[in-house]
Amino acid sequence: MSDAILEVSHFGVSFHTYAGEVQAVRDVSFRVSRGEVVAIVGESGSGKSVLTQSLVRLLPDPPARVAAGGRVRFEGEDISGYSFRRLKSVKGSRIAYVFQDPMTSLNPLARIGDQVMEGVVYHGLMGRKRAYAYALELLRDAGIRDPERRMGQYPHELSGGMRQRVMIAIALAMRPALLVADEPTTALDVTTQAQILATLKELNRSRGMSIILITHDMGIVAGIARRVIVMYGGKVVESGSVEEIFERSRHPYTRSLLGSVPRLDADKGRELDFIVGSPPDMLRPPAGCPFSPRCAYAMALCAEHPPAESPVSPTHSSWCWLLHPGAARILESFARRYPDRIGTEAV
Amino acid sequence: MLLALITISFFVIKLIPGNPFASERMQPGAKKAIYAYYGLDKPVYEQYYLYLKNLLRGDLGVSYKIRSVTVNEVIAKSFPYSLDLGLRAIVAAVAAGLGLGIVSAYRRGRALDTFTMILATVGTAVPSFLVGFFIQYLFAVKLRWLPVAQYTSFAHTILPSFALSLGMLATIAKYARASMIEVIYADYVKTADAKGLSKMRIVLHHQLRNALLPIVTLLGPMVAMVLTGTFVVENVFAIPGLGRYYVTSITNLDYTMIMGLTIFFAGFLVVMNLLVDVVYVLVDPRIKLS
Amino acid sequence: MTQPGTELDFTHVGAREGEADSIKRPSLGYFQDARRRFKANGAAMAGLAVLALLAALSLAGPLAVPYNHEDGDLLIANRGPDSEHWFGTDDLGRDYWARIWVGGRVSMAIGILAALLQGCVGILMGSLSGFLGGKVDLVVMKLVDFLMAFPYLVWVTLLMLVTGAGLVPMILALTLTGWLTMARIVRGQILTLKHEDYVVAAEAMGASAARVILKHMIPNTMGVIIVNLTFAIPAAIFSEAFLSFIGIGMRAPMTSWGLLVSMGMKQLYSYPLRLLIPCACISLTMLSLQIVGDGLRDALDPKLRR
Repeated sequence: MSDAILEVSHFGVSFHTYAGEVQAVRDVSFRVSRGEVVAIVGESGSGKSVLTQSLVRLLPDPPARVAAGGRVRFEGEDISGYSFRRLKSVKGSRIAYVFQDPMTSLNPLARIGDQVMEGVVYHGLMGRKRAYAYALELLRDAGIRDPERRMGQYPHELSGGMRQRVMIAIALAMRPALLVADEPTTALDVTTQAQILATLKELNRSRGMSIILITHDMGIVAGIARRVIVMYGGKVVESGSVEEIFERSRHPYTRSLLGSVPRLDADKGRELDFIVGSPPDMLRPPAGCPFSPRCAYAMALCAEHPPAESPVSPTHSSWCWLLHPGAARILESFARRYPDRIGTEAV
Repeated sequence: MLLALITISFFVIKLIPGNPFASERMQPGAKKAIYAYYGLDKPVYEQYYLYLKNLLRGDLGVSYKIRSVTVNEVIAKSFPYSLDLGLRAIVAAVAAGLGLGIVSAYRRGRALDTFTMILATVGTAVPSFLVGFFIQYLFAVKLRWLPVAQYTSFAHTILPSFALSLGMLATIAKYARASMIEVIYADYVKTADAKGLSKMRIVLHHQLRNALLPIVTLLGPMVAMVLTGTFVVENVFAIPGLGRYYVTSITNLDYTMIMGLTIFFAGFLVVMNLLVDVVYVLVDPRIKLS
Repeated sequence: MTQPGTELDFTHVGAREGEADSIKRPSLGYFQDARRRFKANGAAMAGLAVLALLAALSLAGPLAVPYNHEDGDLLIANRGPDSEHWFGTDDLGRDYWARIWVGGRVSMAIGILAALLQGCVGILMGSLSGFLGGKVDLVVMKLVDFLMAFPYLVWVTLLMLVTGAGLVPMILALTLTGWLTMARIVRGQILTLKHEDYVVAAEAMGASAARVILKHMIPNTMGVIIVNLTFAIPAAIFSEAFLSFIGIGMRAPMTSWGLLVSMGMKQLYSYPLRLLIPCACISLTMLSLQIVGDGLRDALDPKLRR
């Protein structure tokens, strides 16, 4: 594997609310290589946005507090202890963000041009004149056709897709090494979605920029990412290459996520799988596997004991008790009862 | 709209039982002369027509009670006092209200925030003339720190301006705090933060403008608040402003004066609201003049 | 973390979501829930206690002394507070304690009656406007806009000039000018509710009009109406004080807090208590009502429910 640009280990974030402490992210470790596109997948509330935004502490504290003991190594440097002042040199210039909702992520009172130029001008990289020409170029790169006109407009004059392109242009401005795209297409219609994803893919290729793509939509992962991290209840439950996750997933949660994706080639009579119940109450997260209350395969120990990482291949890990040797008998009985539902082939 | 108000107040005043000269004992001839002088001998619709005609020329008529003084003269003489008082109150309210609101939004739950919230509740609940009495009693009667009963030096202006501004100050502080808190968590602030900008720049360029925009809409109601506030505050502090004249004319049943001042107030409010609308269009690119 | 091996229990139990559902908090009715939240609000309960005290004093206060608010004895005029006259006497030798609390009755009666009448007119106009829509709506809203363009004290003043001073004219004038906010709020509520998904859904599921109104519209409108009424009371009390202050409200020998303030003002330097007591009464009442109103709003607004 090529050298890592981002290494996160034992990272946790909690929110301090009136009702108590909400542990939104618990003991998460992962890495991203240079030039790689990694997808982080999970339902809303699984902690994926909180995780990525807390890497450079974008969430206000209070209420969001990064737990002690976690480490964030970025381009070889441990940035987890950086002060707000010092983080400024990382934010924007090395790690850039594109957020979920383009309708609210742009300052409604500032012109597009000013918002795109702000980063480079503020950091003293160029004067306004050069920055203007540069911003035009950025907007064009982000797929905006008539950038001259857009520069002088305000966010409310642009469509959602257009605004998301502006967000991408803003993110690109400082030539970051890593782009975090947090559900960049969720708020957009399907055609625009495809165009934005194509743009991101192209930028990854032409600039060699690493991308973390956050999504809850398994459908868009396959087309763009090389590796997938699946999160549930603030924890990583499975990680592996796209093929490993899509074809040889070893976690019931991942499998149910995949089952929720409509497929054109599926039998017409087959209903979409859905996951019973709702995500866990993070005020009182289950002591064991967070998915156990909703897991059809849950065993008695799942609720009490957190599953350890079980390597399936050098690139594929799953955090599930079913991979423990002690679960072999259960798996066999599942295989007999539901031959078409769970892949027991690898056990 | 202004015309409707003029018409309504004209006929309402005509409806008032009795007439301003009823109490004065005079010869029938003199009475007739006075009626003719004020145009009261003509039928009501003609009086109305004449009044409108004069109004178009900017003439609000003659006082019934203070002989040979026109309403225009009264306005010219006393409006500067009210304007001065009102401006001081608005400036103080905006400055202190915004300051308190913004700072307590950043220091939520701390002592200053608690103070602001209490001040906001008290300030919006207790009417300005009672505030006027309390502070007049405390600072002028008990402590004798500040002079009252005149409006000649800066020291004289402090208490009335404060009394007039407290309600507004409280309202502004409340709104500023709420909208500032909303803005602190806004997505575009996160975008600005993600650009690696300094705290200072984020606050000045991305938070303040967005947070303060809704406050501009408060300016319209505030002008109205100040206006009615002057009715009582000027009386409490014996300031010879328009509000005082208005109340005096009501007590004296000086109908032309009441009418003229009401129209003046209404016109003033209409103009001010128009100004606020214009300001709003200027500061918010999302709103277009229609 | 866990010791691999012996006591780990690998028996299949499946999804336990059903259990999780059964331990939800008991569901309370709308007003029960609101009452619980209001009681938990310390400031609001304190405000309510102050109000209760002021109301009790206004009702029982005058009965506790052997004087009434109208008859004075000039020989004992302008006395300070003592064991016979707890708040002293005024310039005509009338017992100030009696005058204050009879004044309290008048002020509170005006506040409550005016607020209720304003509420009735406002609800009627607002719901007519909202339900009927079309021309009725247009006319009502134009009228509201026009009346709202100018401070309502100006309207009340004009009206009071016509009707003359006194209790009934004042309540009438306050009713005629104070219904605007309520009408606007009720109309807005009804318009939104009409298009609210759950109302549309209830209708689609075949709920009768009565059921839709009772089950969905009322609970969602009652809250704002009650809160608005709470805020209308202090506004009316203030108007009374203002009108009496400028001399077109209540007239002596009758009394009210506003009238007492206006008379007390003339003696601020010699007998400050005469001004400060009614001022304090008005301020406390308005402040408590404001706090109680805030508390009610927090308790009744279902959208703020956690």
